[in-house]
Parts: sequence; C-alpha cells; structure tokens
Amino acid sequence: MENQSRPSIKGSKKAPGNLERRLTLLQNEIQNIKGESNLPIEISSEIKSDHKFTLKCGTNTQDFFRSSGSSPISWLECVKNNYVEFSNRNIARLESSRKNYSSFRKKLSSHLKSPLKNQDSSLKPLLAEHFKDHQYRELYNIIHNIQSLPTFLLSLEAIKGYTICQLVSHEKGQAYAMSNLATLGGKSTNKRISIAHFNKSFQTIKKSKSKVFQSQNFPTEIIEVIGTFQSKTFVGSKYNLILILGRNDFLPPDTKEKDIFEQVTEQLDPVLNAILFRSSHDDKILNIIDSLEQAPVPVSISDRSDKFLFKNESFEKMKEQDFRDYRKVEKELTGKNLLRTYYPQSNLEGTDLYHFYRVSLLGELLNTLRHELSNPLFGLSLASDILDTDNKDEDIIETVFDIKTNSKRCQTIIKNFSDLYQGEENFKEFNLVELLRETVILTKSETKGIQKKILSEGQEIFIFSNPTWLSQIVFNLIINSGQAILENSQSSTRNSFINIQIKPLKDKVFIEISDNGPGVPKGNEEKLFKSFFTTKDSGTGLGLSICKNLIRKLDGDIMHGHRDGGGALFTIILPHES
Amino acid sequence: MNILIIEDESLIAKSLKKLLERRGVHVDWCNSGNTAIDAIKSGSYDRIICDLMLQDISGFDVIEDSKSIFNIGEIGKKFIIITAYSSPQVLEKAEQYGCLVLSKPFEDLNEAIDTFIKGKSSD
Repeated sequence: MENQSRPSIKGSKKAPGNLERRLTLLQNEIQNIKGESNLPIEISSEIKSDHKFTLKCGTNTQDFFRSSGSSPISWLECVKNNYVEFSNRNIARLESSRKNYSSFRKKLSSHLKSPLKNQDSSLKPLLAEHFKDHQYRELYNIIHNIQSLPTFLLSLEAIKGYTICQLVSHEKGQAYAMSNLATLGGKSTNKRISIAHFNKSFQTIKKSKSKVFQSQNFPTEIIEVIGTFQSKTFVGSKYNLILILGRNDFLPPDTKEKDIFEQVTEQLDPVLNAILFRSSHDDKILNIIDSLEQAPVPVSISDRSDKFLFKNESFEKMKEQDFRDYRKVEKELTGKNLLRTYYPQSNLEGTDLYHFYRVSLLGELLNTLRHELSNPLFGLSLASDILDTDNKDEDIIETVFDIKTNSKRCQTIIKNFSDLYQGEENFKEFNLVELLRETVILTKSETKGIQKKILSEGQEIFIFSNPTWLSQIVFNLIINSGQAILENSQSSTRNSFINIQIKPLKDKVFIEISDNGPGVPKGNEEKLFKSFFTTKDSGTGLGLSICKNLIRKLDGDIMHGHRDGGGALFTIILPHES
Repeated sequence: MNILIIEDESLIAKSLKKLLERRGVHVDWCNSGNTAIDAIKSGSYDRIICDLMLQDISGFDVIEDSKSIFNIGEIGKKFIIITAYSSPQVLEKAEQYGCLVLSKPFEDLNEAIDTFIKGKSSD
C-alpha cells in the first residue's frame, strides 16, 4: 500500500482524510467552473466504502476506486477523466457564457498573425511524441492557466502526502519571475519574484543530482516551502521553470518518493511549457480584447450570419437612434467575420473647422473693411462739416447734410458688423432684439423683395450668450428661407415674408423664424440637420448642421416644424434668466 | 504757430487744415511719409499731426527718423498721432515715444482741434 510506504505522514489513518481533501479540491475546481459557467450541474460525492467513492457531474456518475492500481498516476487518470468528461460536454456552453470570448479569441487570433496559430501547429507533433497516452494531451486541455497547476498537482494521487506545491516561472525577456503557490488546504497565491533570486535558485536546483533541498539554503523571497523539499527545473523555449514540492517538514523523502517525483515531473515536462505558452498568449489576446473593449468608438464583430461575436462597451451604450448618426466602416476579417467600427457623424470635426475658418476669415475681412472705409468716410464727414458751416445756399446745405448723415450711417453699419464677428468665444450680455435687427440687415442682399419683420420690435430682451454664434444661426436660417422663397416664386415675391418672433418663457427664450415659402419637403425632416445634406444645387449641406452644433454650444436647441398656413418654421431655444 | 499735417486722405487733411487756419494757425500738409521727413527737417513746426497708415512708410517711421533732429522729450510734445487702427500695440508704441493718440473718427471735432493747438495738456 502506498500509504504505508510514506512514513512521513502522521498516522496510517490519513488515507480517507486525504481522499476527502482531494475530493474537496476537485469539487472546488468544479464549483469554480460551475460558478463561471452558470451551468445547471449537480455535484455530489460520496464515499461508499473504504475502497470506493462516487462523483457526480450532471448526469454523469462515475465510480472511482481509491486503490485502483499500482500506477502512481491512477489518481491523475480519475481526475482527468472527470474533467474531460465534464469539459467535453460543456465546453461550448462554457465558452458562450464567457461572452463568447473563447471562440472569439480563436477567430481573432486567426486574423491577427498570432503566435497561438504557430504554437498550435508546432505543438501537435510535440504532443503526439510525448503524450502517446491521450490523457496528457487532455491534461493540456484541462489546465488552462498556470495558476491552477500547483493545485492540480497537489490533488494527484501519485504525489499525495505533499502539502505545498510551488511553481516559479520566468518568461525569457521579462524583468521578473512569477511564483504560483498552492497548499493542500486549497489556498492558492501568486507573486512576483526578482530575476536575480530566480536565476540563482534555478542554477542551484538544476545542478543538483539528488533534487532534494533544504529551504534555509535558499532566499525566503523565492522558496516558500519550509524544511525539506523536492524540486526540478524545466527549460523551455520561452520559459524556465522551477517546480517545488514539499511537506513543510524536515524529513527527507525516501527512495520511492524520489522515484515518483521523477516520474511525475518527467511526464509533466512537455506539457508545462505548452501550458505556459498558451497562458501568456491568452494574456496577449485578452489585452487585444481589452483594447477593443475600451476603444472610444463603438466596435463590433459579427459572423457570417450577422450574429454578434463581440461588442465593446461603446457599442453596448449606443442607442437605436444613434446608429443613424454614425458612419459605419466595415472590414472583413479572416473567416468572413465582419469588424464594424462606428464613427459619430453629426459632430464632424471638419464641419466645425470649416465654419470657424469661414467666420474668422469673415471677421478679418470685415475688420479690414472697417478700417479701410472708416478713413475716407471720416474725411467725408469732416469735409461736410466744414461745407455745412461755409454755405448759405439751402440746397447745398441740405445735400451736404445728406452726405454727412449717410457717411455716418455707413460708419455705424460697418462698425456693427465687424463687432458682430469679433470674438469667437465671446459670451456676453446683449440686447437680443438689436442683434436680430443687425442680422436682418446683413441678409438684405440675399432676401431682396421679401418682407422681413421682427415681431417683438420695441421689446427689450437682454440675454447672456455668444452674439457672434447666435447671429450666425439666425443669419443662416433667414438666408435659407430667402433662398427657398426666391427659388419657388417665379414671378413676384410681393406677398412673401420672413417673420422673427421672440417669446420669453420662464428660463428660456424662443426665437421663431417662419416664412411662407415652400417649407421643408416631406421626408427630409430627419436629415435636415445632418452634415452634407442639401436640396440646393449649389448647397454644401453644412449650414443647418453648423447651426445645430453652434446652438449646442450655446446650451440651447433648434427645432424644425411647419408654419400654420404653409412654409417653414424654425425655433431656436436659448437659456434666459428673466 | 506752425503745424504740419501728415495725412494721405486728402478730405481729412484739407478739412483739418481749414479748421486749424480758422484758429489762426499756419498749416502745412504732406500726403506721404517721405515728403514729411523732408518738411520736418527744413521747416520749424510747433506741432506735427501724423497719420500712421501712409502710402509709402508708416507714421512711426517718420517719428523714428525725426529723432535725428529732436530729442525724445521734443518728440512727445510735437507729435500727435491720429489713426483709425488704435490697437493696443499701436497705443503701446505711441506711449514709448510719449505721443498723444487720437482715434479717427474723432469723437468731438472741436476738442480734437483744441488738442492739436494746445498739445499735451499735462505739460
């Protein structure tokens, strides 16, 4: 009996306890998977007699004999069979429950020229060669990350009696090594270890022939086992590993224990590197997924049947209506999967830039004009002042007076316009009615012959806003109305009008701009404020989209409706402290 | 009293000339910077009313050039700048020469004429 050959274990009645503990470990493992996968499985275990126990996973009941043979790896087989049975049946559901990540990973990695792909193909002959017995290939499938390996090893019947298992791995090129530690109690921890400590211990263990060590000869930073321990190093293409097994006592292992240790570690050798390779590769894939997940624009990946394989956070947050506002860019991935990236459209940076460029250009132009005109205009008014006092002739006096008033008017107009286009970020308190009046004058040439009225004339409404932007918006709307009316009326514009009405209401002020033109054609209402949408032959389709952007910056809103009796109606809503 | 007007806008220059002559001042007029430099060197003016935006050179160039015959105190007293571009930069530069600046158009014509005759009131 194996138990009797282990003098280090206190008492011979340890066996059932060990069995129970291992069972608990196994159950814990399965519980973890169950927790992750949310599968409706039942797990129960029962120690039927001294020789037998039952483990139940779902509908699969399997009886195990504790002493099922002399092979030190019999327990490994038992555990493995259960795992495999379990995972084979449930792998698909497990994966789908992990947000499709597993299947997505495979698909993603086949698209990206991933090391996983190379590794998989190179692994096949490797696995075939070393794992003639299929069970080891399956072991590779069972252990998904290195953290769970020490726990798994401790649960092996072959190496029972050990209470602590530590695996220290160093990926070549990394500045530190990782230590994964498991105790029989089911505790599992991991920490970083300096490369200097790792290298020193690695060399010591590698050179030793007995593979039995005392912990006091090693730095405590790296070796967490107390007392005597057995250890072996593994050299892989990408990793160097130290495997440590101990019991936290000072008794040396006997010959049989040494044999078993050798046997187990030998069989582990090929699979360890493969597992490590995969787990680091999984990390890389996870990094890619995380990056996609956190991309500031919506990203989705769907398969041939348009089923989603992946949606990132921004995508999940997108509302139904948003999809229309976004520009969709599709890229076909390997396996006919589709990568879709969505870019917001209504806030096109270019549109704003174009607008600001235009306005600042206009501002500069008006400023130059103002200065170039003000000098000769000043000359005119100066000269007319003198002529005024020099002359006695009524006709001349009247004419000179007209010259004087006209030149003054010219000066005022040009001053107002250049003031209007001065500060881009200039928020201030101003008279809304006055601003509208000035803006209406500005539209004169584009709305020739159309009657324009500010219906709140005489009313004084002061608001705090950006006069330049507001004037831009109103200007645009009036020009639009004017163009629509002029385009529509072949003969006369005698009865055409554009009305502007100001309605203060609580903490808001409504500016309604209406006309009796053709109105917005049915079916175009939704596209109205979109960039590059236009019905005009020479339009850029930027006017209303710019209006919408500007009004947002003013903390207001703009809406479109139909005027009673025909024509367009645009309503600007601005914040207003009454 | 002798006043020189440097101004390329003839309506302004002629009007100012006329208004100042009514107050008994002798007025000469130059419509370019270079002719003004010559005039300043050959004549003796109590006041020089100088526009900044001239066709050939700037008014500041004229002032800078006259440093050869006037000290900085005299420049501040003699020159009065009239300009349609009264930007902060212009005001700062005028300050360096110690010159008065009047923006065109003048807010009060009579006050402007008084200033031209009296010069800097603080002196």
